[in-house]
Amino acid sequence: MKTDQFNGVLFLLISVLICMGSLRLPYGNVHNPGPGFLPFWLGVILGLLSIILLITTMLRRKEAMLFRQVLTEKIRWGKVLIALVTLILYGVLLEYVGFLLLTFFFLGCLIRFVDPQPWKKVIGWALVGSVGAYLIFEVWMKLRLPGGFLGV
Amino acid sequence: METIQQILYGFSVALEPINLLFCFLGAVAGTLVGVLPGLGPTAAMAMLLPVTFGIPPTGALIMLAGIYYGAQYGGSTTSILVNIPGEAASVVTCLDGYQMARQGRAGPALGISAFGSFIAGTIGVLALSFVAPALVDAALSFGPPEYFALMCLGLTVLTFLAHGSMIKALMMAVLGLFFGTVGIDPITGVQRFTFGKTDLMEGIGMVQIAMGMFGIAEILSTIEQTIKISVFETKVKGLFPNLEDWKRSIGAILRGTGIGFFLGILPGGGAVISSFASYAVEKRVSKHPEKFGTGVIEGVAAPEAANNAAAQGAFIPMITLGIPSNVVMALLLGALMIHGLTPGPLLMTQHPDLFWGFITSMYIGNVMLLILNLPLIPMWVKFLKVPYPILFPFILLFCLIGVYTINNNVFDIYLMIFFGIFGYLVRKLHFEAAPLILAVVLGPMMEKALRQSLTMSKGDFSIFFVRPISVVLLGVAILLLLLPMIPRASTREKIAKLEE
Repeated sequence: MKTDQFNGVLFLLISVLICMGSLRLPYGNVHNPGPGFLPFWLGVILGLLSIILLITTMLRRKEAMLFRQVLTEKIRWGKVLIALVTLILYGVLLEYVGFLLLTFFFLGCLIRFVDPQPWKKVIGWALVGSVGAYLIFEVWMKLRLPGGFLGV
Repeated sequence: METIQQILYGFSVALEPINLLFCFLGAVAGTLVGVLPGLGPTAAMAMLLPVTFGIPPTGALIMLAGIYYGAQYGGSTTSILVNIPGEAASVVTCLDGYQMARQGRAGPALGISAFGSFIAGTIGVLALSFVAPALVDAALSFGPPEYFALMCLGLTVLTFLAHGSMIKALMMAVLGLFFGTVGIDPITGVQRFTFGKTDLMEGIGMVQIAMGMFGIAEILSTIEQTIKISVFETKVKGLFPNLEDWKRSIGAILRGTGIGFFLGILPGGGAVISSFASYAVEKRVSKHPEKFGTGVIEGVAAPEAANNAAAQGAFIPMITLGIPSNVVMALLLGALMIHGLTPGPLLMTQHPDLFWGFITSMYIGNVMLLILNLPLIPMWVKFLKVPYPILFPFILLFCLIGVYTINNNVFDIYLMIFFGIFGYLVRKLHFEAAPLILAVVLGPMMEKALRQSLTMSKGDFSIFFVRPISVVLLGVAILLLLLPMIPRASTREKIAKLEE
């Protein structure tokens, strides 16, 4: 399957979802559009564009990027996943652990596990980074970042 | 005469020590992100936007603008020395700039790009201060239908200029318009697509989306590959171009300035497209077009002048009409609104200190950059040597702090991560993020203008086609939509070829 065929199908599905969601809202009428008017027609236009994309991709003979290639490209999926999980954990823990401590672990984790650096560098940069960021954003700019259980 | 008086007034505002400081901070931060690969001006401005909440709007605007044009300067440095464009507008500079560096002429290449940028920036600011008031006068007669038409044109031009498929760019724009509808409907108070979440009631913030799709997504796509950056080891000496260099470049700089400024004004145009266009023009007017790509100085001077002039031109529709012509302008517009100012033609009359102070600060910023960039080049190169595995966690941290401090709400972090993943995936599927973000900003404004127009005309759609300005704008938009259907004639393909 060509990438754009996949895209066409994917966005056609999204457009159907948008239209269905919009129909639950008051539509108004053409002369006095309600809150559901614009989203509904945006859904319709997105659907039409997806269909055009599907048709033009099928008609075109030119060799196109295959969807399979997108998946099997040389990509370090694991590294991307580590970064994402670390990011999400930062959001989850921020208000409990507090900015200073969490930032130390956040930086350390990313520096150590994405492109592994020696521990000395990991701890050094994480320390400098977290304390530096704390001084700049909390002390100097007074941005009131969460203190967590340490209360700082 | 009046304009000159106002410019002088602007200087008195911009030269206040505190504003000078903001201008300096912005220009330095901009140069830094321009130098660092994988972090464009958009992400940098989105990250620093929350920092500006605490300072007066004039200072905030001056600093954010400084980031923007500072990045144009910084981007060229890495293009020349490392063959890695720090940001998209410097892609063309790599072609001849890096070749010059390899021939030991890195100095003059950096020099001409700084001087070219300075000349273009100066002319751009001057033109801006004369064009803007005239446009404000015209814009005062605009009603909702004209605004709606203008925004339609803006979105169309952006999708028209997008790389690759225009259909896919349009799909992103439509999806962006849809994201713009999330939240409480301003007219009826009905909740749309909030899934009952309080956090979504005020809508999805542009900053969260921009940081996700430009900041997080960019980093994810960089760490998925093993990165190797090798800095070209050369002593940069003799930054001043010689007389021969000047003779060959001055025409190129002036042409680049003209092209850049006018493409910059066009909605949807901007720095990237103008740098490509000016390079193509130079190649055509040159007596030795075959030498382009082997290290000719015109090939560095023209695009560098063009992208700086375009950066100035792009401010015009934003500050006079309140309509962003590209994503960076959309962010600036967002900053204005956060500070409680209504962008649009009234800005100039109601807040002359902000309007003129901002415009003249760009001139001062250009002088600062010239002084800053030339002697500090060795220092910028050092920044390039910070290994990416250590750099990227810090960029992520800045994104997190930036997005959290908008509302002190963890939900914004999740929203940013969501758009980061979304941006990363659509990039994999060869979509572009820019039309989506512009549409998110324009969406609510467009819907308001559309519904106001229909109220004015009592529901008659012909209102868009009987008013002369709106019919012309919509006509051009429709023309642009139809243009790609004419095979082979499009300039898009030529640009695509050039980029390869």
